[in-house]
Amino acid sequence: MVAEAMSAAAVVNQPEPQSDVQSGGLAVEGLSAWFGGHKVVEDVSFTAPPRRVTALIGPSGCGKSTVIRCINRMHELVPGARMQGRVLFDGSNIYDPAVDAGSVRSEIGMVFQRPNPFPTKSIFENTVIGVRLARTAGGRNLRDIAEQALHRAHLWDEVKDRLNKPAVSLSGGQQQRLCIARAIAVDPALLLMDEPCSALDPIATFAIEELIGEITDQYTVVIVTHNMQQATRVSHHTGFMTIEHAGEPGKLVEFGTTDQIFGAPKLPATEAYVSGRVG
Amino acid sequence: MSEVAGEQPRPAGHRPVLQAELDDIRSSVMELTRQVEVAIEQAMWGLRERNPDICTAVIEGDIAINDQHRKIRDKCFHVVLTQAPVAGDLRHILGFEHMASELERMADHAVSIARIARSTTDLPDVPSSEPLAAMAEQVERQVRDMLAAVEARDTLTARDVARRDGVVDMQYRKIFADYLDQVTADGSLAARATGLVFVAHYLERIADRVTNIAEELIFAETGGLEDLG
Repeated sequence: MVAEAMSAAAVVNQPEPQSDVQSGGLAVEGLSAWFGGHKVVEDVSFTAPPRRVTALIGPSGCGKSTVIRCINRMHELVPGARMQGRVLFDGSNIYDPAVDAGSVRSEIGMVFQRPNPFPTKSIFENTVIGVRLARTAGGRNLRDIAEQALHRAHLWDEVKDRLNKPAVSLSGGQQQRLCIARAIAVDPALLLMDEPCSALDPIATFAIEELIGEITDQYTVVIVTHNMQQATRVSHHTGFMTIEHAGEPGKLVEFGTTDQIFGAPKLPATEAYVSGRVG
Repeated sequence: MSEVAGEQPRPAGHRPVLQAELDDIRSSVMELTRQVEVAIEQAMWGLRERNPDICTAVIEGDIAINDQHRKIRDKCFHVVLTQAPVAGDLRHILGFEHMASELERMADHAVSIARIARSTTDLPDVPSSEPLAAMAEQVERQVRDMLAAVEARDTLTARDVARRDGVVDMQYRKIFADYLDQVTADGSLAARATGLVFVAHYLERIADRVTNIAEELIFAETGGLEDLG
């Protein structure tokens, strides 16, 4: 049973797992992940409250990205990769055999470390490509969907006169906002972000952070970041993942409000990491 | 308590500059504590001995204390600006900065006592000065014990010292009532007795600030906000 696998004492401050997660909320329960025979993540459990930002922090290679790639079933796309545990979104297990992985990915959007627009497609086509593929327009005009998504991503004013220009004509920060517009155009309920600002300059970074703050009126966000200050600025809750010894799988060792994790962490390992003493 | 991250000694690790700056702030605060401790003891000594020179030394010595306070504020500002401290590092910097402000105000109270002492040297003594001497002794002990707790990062002792503030409050109320009785009986004592009531008031304020320092120490070490007053 998942509850037994969780070993409650292992994670400091971990809230009780909720079987009836609120609408738009995410619960990861007893998640372990492997690449072939190598176990990279062990027994991770946490709850990301709806319309809030939850940050995952931790040293390189601790499995943060693998955890969020399990949340929209991208991990299983890697040959030989597998996972164990449950991911409940809106109270339903996205790994239920009856659930289609493609529909999960249209519900749960992802923004990656480096902007990855389709280089040969236009700004407009990049924005609506998810809507076209998932056929989620529901009779709405694609142009309206694009305009709304680009507005939300704070990109509209900069691109409205050149929607047919290729996406690669944009700057890095604009391309990343385009990727966010593409992700939110399909109106996902949950947005995953894997170090979305690590390739951006400070101005573009602040623009994305402001955007993250704004979209939480509608979306639940889980963000992986190496930037401690960014985690304190954008997130409400923070989980700290780490590897105790080289070669061991990454574990979530402390989870709490962001103020608590960065203000008064309970574990010395968390304190050492957030204050830059190790990692 | 040993599992609380804030109470663990923090290895310098990858942050030798931050650690050196924190150590420097800590030693500056400890230096300020010694200056303030001396100011309070000298002010009470000047009052007891009716010695205007000692009182003047306390009043003039306040410049160095204010200067030390300003240096600590500058150092705290610099380390926040340049090192983006979080967790225990940030709590210690905020705690040090608040402690330094409390210490600076304690020194101001010592100066106020010294001014009263210097202006009342020629006045006749009030019949009973023992309760004030006992109160001064109690407050000086509170200050000494709290500063030792800060140096040792000892939150248990800090709580214990803060708890003794009730004794000082009781002493103050008793002294106030006694002097009122004496002045009512003999009007010629009014000038000196009024001065001494103010001295007792400043001592009581110093003891309150000792309690505030205990709260700052607990916050810095554990992250907990406690109202010990």
